[in-house]
Amino acid sequence: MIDIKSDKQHFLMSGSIFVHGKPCVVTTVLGSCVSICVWDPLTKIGGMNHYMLPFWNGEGLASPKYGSIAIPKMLEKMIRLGANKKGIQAKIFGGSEVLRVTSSAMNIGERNIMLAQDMLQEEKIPVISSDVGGKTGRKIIYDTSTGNVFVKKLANQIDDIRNV
Amino acid sequence: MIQEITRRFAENKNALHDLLVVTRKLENMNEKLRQAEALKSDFLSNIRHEINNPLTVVLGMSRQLCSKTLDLQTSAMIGEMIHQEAFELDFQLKNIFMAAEIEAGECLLGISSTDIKNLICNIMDSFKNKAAAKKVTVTIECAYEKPEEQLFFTTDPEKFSCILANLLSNAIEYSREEGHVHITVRKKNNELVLTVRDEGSGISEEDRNKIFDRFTQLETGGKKHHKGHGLGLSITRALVEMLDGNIRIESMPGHGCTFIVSIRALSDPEMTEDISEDSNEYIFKGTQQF
Repeated sequence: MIDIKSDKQHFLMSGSIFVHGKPCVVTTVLGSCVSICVWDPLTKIGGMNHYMLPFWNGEGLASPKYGSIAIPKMLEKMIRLGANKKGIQAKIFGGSEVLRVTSSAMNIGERNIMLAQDMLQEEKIPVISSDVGGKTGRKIIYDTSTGNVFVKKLANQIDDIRNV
Repeated sequence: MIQEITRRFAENKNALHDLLVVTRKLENMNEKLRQAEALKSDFLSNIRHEINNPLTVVLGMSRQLCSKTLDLQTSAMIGEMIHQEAFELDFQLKNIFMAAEIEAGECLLGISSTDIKNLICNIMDSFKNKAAAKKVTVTIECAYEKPEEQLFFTTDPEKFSCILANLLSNAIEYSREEGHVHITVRKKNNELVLTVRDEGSGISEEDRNKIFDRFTQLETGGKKHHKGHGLGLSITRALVEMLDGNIRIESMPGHGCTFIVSIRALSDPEMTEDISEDSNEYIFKGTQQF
């Protein structure tokens, strides 16, 4: 049995960022998208993003649906709320290959994961655990009061995963 | 030995080719980012103009309204002008705030069952002065699944209004004088299709790719600057995507264009994803902790 301590709930839409100083349970559903859950154990400030593509190429709005925008923006918000950058830890989830791609070229999920790892390394933020890749979607439940993340693997129901 | 060399040569050739492709992509991306930066600078001077103009009218006209010598008819006319300019300013500012919210990842959905026809009529009403100034007529056509039913659809009414307001504002802005803007809305099962057709100068195939970029405005009919800040369509597309839909354009240069938005009915995730004690068993079955 898992232990959820926070009462406040939030469903994170794709292309959004959630950072809050108060304990919350943040839920999202991931296909090839990637979510990074960040947590500062000292201040207990937690944050989560949900990006769909690795790089913003200058087209449309510079929205956090692109990892290169979503990751720095989330860290910025954490620091603005009082988190200590040196203490922030990260967990990476998602990036699965939900659509069967026959080509050997790197799929979106894989590129999303690589971006998360590279950018976090650049920012010197340790990745303390992750559950990435594979062929199924995931439902993520993140309790920001403890930094615990619960992952439920979804069966091969691509229709269920609307946020690919 | 020769076979090995040939194989390695082929491998290196492939790697070089891949590298060239990636380099070219990066160069393209750099160029686009440079252009985006230049557009952002233009935007700042543009926005000053967009905020200053209506404000000047509001300030000047409200000063006139304070004069006690005005007759009732003139006062009403001035009041109408102030309202129109204030509405324009409000519309532009709302768009900027919406873009800022989307870019900050803080744009939340407020889903409810929405009376679509009523909502469209309200927006048409708020743009009637803008349309009248160009003598553009705006009409609406609703196709109901069952004629006796009202057109209710589960979506975010605020975002849907913003999409329609931007499309309608553009259609009037780019329409010819005394033109006609036609809005149709059709609901089929879980999908709502909204079209906005104008009789402007149309959009070429080449321009269709860039109109959704932020701070972009087309030069049409020798007119370089249209009202607005060039954010409208980039916001529209981002909002349509948030509402689980897509947007496309049908156009023949010189014969106007039609924007077609189709969105799917949304379900409220906060209601369906309730982590209550009753649903704990279902939600947490087979979960792993990280």
